[in-house]
Amino acid sequence: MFEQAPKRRELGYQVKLDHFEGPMDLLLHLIRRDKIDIYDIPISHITHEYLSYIEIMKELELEVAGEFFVMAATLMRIKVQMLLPKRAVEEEEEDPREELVRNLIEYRKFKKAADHLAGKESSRRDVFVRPVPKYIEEEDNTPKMELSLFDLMDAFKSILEDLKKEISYSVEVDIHTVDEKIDFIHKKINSNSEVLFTELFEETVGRVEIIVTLMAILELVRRGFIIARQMSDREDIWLYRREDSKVVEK
Amino acid sequence: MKNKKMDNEIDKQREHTIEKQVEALLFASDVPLSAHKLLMLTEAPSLKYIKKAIDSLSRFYSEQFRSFEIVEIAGGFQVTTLPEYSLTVKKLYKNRRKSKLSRAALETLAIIAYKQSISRSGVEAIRGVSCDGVLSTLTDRELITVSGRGDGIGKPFLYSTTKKFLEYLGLKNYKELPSIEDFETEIEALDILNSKLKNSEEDIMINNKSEQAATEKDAINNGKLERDEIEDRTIQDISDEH
Repeated sequence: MFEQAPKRRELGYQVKLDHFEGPMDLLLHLIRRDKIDIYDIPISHITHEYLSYIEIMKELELEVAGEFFVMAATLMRIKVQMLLPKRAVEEEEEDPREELVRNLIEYRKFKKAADHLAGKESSRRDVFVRPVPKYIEEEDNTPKMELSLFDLMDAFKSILEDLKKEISYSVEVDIHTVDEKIDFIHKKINSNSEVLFTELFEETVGRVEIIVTLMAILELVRRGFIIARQMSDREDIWLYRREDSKVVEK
Repeated sequence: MKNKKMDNEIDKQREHTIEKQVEALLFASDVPLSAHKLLMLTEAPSLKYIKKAIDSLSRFYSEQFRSFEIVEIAGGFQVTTLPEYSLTVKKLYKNRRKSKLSRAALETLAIIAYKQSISRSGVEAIRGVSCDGVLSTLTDRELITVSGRGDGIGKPFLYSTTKKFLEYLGLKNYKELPSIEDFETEIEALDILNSKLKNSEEDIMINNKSEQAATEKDAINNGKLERDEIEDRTIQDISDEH
């Protein structure tokens, strides 16, 4: 009696929409298709077209991602704002479309950039290089996690706590300065480009020197000269020169 | 005089040895080797020798029409087969190659490459869709990595591209990528071209219409006979309707 026709979803197939990754793609598609000037989008036309696509997607039982509805709401909000009478000229009012247009233009650039990368990927796949020989382990011991100043301080805290437990009978003479240690670390890192955190303490004698070394490391990290990295928690900490981190300068 | 000649002789021999060492290393390595690394691994006394060896090898391969070359990738040198042998070698690796990156992955990768140190929400704000899955795919393929933590709520992970990224795309360095504004210029140029095309299409349509009108007019003016025919036809049409 309550039997219903099985929904199509239950028939076991559902197509995932790949053509339009997201709402921005759909909008850019419509803009291109209708040869619309992106700086002057006819908002009610585009809203209408956009909604009709969503209808089609629903009709085809495609899974419509939530983002599509968020965008639909944005479009309708803009449409309403455009209809409202403009207030007096006293304040420069932003075109309600402005943010959307800015986002679309930004995204469009990266889509082009992605095309460029795809081209590079294709041509790289046409040439071949030697694979890792079977009897050699693949090399991947480069630490990836960059440690913040606070992570480092945590690490130092535990070192200092360990130190407290050791009772030292030797008389310490404070001959170490932070500047001296900074020079020392600089030299170490410049010759190796990376240095193991613990390596810096191999020759340290006594509490004061250890603390001074820690302060020097903190200072260098703070100044942005070095970065501390770690594979994961509790692993060795490596220190790197900053320029080894890649930055696209454009 | 004689001494100098001998020195030269020794130097030549040394260069030759270094060249072979560089070749052996490039042949055996699975990753691009930087000039510094080659300097460390060979007997070369300075970078100049490495550079010389690579130049000489490159010249030799091309003069001998070998099927491979030395290319500069990700800040290093690597031996690769030439693109014209791609079909041959692809047959060897049939069904064993990793798939190409998806559109979503490429877009995400492009954003990270140009922004460097960007959080997931930063990427999502640009793409307008959730990027969780894509980020983990790219991380798994070691094309991106967590490079730090942001200042925002919950100190989000920041992502940057890796050396593998350069390797994967065969890029020498980041400077080899066009600037992001270049893409905008390209898009705008295309837009202008398109709107011109659109306009000229419209022009053609208008022209066609007026041409058509003109021909009809001509036809009408062309002699009485034709006009009579037209009139006849019209009369005929009308009587048909009745």
